[in-house]
Parts: sequence; structure tokens; C-alpha cells
Amino acid sequence: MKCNRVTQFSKTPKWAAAWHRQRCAECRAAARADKIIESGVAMLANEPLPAEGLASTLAALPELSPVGRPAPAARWIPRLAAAGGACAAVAVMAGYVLNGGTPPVRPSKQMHAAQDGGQDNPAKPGVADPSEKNLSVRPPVPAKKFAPAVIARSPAETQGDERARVPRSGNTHRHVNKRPSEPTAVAGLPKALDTALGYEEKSPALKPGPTEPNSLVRGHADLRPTPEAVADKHVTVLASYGVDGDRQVKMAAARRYVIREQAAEAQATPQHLYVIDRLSVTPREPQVASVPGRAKESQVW
Amino acid sequence: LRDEGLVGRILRGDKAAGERLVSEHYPRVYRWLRHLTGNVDIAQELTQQTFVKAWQSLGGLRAEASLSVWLHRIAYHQYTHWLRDRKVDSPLLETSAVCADRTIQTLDAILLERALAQLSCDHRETFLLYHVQGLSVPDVAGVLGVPDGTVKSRLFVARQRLRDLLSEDRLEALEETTENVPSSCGAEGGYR
Repeated sequence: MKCNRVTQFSKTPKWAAAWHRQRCAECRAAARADKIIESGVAMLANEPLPAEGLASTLAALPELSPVGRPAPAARWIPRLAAAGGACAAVAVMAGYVLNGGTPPVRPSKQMHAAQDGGQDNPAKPGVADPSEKNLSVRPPVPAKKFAPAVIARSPAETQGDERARVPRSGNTHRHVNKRPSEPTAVAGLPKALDTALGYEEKSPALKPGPTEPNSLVRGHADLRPTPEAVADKHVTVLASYGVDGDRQVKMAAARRYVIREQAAEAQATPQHLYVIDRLSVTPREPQVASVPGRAKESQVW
Repeated sequence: LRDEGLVGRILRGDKAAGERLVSEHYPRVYRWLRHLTGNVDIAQELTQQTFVKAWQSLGGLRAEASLSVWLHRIAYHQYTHWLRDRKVDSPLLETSAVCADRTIQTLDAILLERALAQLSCDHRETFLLYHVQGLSVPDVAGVLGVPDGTVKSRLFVARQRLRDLLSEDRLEALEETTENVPSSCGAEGGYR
């Protein structure tokens, strides 16, 4: 579908565009695909609803009462509080920055004394103000305080892998998420899949499951009534295959033949025949499994 | 304005208005979730959760917001939560229980569902919202939380890809494994 000769923005006259669409193989194929899309969309949009769905939803609602809009004052109070909090935070940050990166200090007696000219309340040398004393002896904030809280270790760390345990560059946070396939869980982030279990063990796709009746076959079973002569031939074909050895395989082949004939009878397109031939005889359920290197499970039909 | 009146009546305790809201919007929300999850039972459950959630937070609905878009957004949120819990990419493989009278259209629907399953989640969600749900581009953008231009781009790419998949010489691709499902498939961030 690479033909862009006639688009909605091209200035080609209508008759020329129509002529091109008739002549161009790609445009003809696109038109056929568009027809399928339009028809499919119409079917999907009119899909029947479950019988009890609406009733059960309606039954679930009266137990609850819709929450009404809060009164104007009740709506504004939290907003004002939030705005006030934000202003206070900005003011504190501004003070912090203007102070050269140190926390804003409460004015001490010495500062008051300096502002007053040192006459009213002269500071005594050698006697430190209690507030300043507290600030001076405050222990430095450990760097670890701001490190992400590790809530679990990767298998490599717990199993004694020195490369994972000892940081190479001296950075104490380097061990976090060191190995993408064996991640360390960090607070606030989702822990990835447990990779201790292998792909084969976890994948239900690789386990044989029960084959369900194929709805695809039923989907086209009554496209149009088959003429009697053809139907008789189908009965013969099914009977002749049914008595042979490898019953299941041959019956499947016979059914496919019959279905194909019915579809041809109903003037099905090659796309429809493909659905009948390939998709309808190999029913597959969506399967999910953990794939190495991926952060979450993926579909692996 | 019609939606606003309906919501106002529900908030004043009009049960009939509540039933009308659910009856009017249930089919679209259900089909949207059915096509996303590919499973009737899960879609039914998520639809019920969507309406319960909407019922609980009806008072917070802004007057200018469209009720349909708002419900689709809640439904999408429920869907992403379900994806996160189940760690499943949307399969879209269950054959739709389409119309009772089986026709060639049934095969078209099967083909389209197969082809849609090959698209990435972003393209599939956008295509379904626009073409099947019948939302406008700004509404789709509102539901998915992306700009209008992104929606248009996704629609174009999805259409081209579907045309490619549904062409006669590319039907084999419908059976390929969907390894191209991106890791950002819905489950990562709820509203994006």
C-alpha cells in the first residue's frame, strides 16, 4: 500500500483519481481492504450486548448514592490551603538560596545587637547563643538519607555475586538496578518479574491445553444454504474419510473442504477463504508468558 | 447541556435519570472494553466497575466535560488497572459473538479483529475509539490524554497497517506472533 498518487490532499481531478484507482493494482487492493475494514467496523460497532450485563450494572448502582458537588466554601478551602502551603515552600526555598545554600538562621541576639549598634544589649564574648550553639553542633546529614530505600536485593547480590555487591566506582548507589534482567526492587518502583523461574516454566503457552470448540467454524457455517447436489457430495466426502485410519486428521481435512466449498458458494473473497482455511482450523488461545529482557509479561501466542 | 441536566437530576436523587444514563452509555462503554480486553466476561465486569466509579464521582464532573468522553476515560482507566493487575497485553482474539445471522460480514469482523491484534496498543485503542466508538479526534485525544495531532497520526498509521495486513498477499501476517506489542501498552501509566 505504498501508492500515494491520489490522496485527499492531491489536486487531481475526480475523474483522473477514479481512473487511477481502477488502473493501479495497489489502489485496488487498498479498496478491497477498506471494504473489509468498513464491514468489520460495522459489525464490531453493532456487537450484541450480554443479556444480563445492563441489569446487573443497574442493580449495583442503587446501593450507592452519587456524591454531590461539594459546597463552594468546601471546594475553596483545600485549594487555598494548598496555595498557602506552596507559597510557604517557595518562601523557604528562596530564603535558602539567598542565604548561600545554608538554612535560614533565626536572628540571634548578636545580630540584634549589631543592628542596634551594640548598646542596648551587648553580646557577651565567649557565651554563645543557645540557638547558634544548636546549629553549630548539628550533625551533618548523611548522604544515605537521600538514597533510594532498597526493599529487596537482586538474586545476584543475595547469592554472593561480588560484582553486584561491590560498587566499582565507589558510588554506593550503583548496585541499584545493576542488572536489567535481575533487578533490585526499589521503594516506589514496581518490582520486575521473578526471573528465578524460567521462561519455559512460567509460560502457559508452552503447556498443552484443552482444545475448545472453534467458534470460527461456526461463524461461517450458515453463510448460505448449500444446494442439495453439493450437500450430497459433502456427505459422501465426509463418509469416505470417516471410515479410514487416521480419522481425526482426515475428518478435519474433509470438513475444511466442505467449508471451503460452502464459502466459495457464498462468493467469499480470498481473505474469507483464508480465515476459513487457516484461522478456523487452528484455534489458539491468547497466552501470556514472561519473556527474558522485558519488564512485564508479554503475549506469546 | 443535555448531559449536564441529566447529571443534575441524578445528583438531586432522580433514579430514573440514573437508569437512563446507564442505559444510554452502557453499550458503547461495554463494546469499547470488550474490544480492548477481547473477553466478554472481563468487559462486563469492567463496565460495571466503570459505572460504579462514575456514579461515585459524578459530582466531580465538570460542567463543560462531555459525559461520554468522561465515561470512556474512566473505562480506559479501569482497563489499564486491569492490565497492570493481570500483566496481560490486550489479546483481542476471542471471536466476537457478532450478529445472529451469520454472513460474510462475520468473516470481515474476524479478519479485522485479527488484524487489529497485530497493531500496537496505541494504534489499536485510537482506531477503535475513532472508528468503532465514533468519537471525534478531540474526544479521542481527551480519552487517551494525547494531543490531537498524535491521534491523527495514529489513525493514519493504523489504517495503512490494516490495509497492508488485509491485502491478499499479506494474510500470512495475521498468524504471526504479536511480538511487536510495545512495553508501553496501557499498563504503564494509566492516563497518558
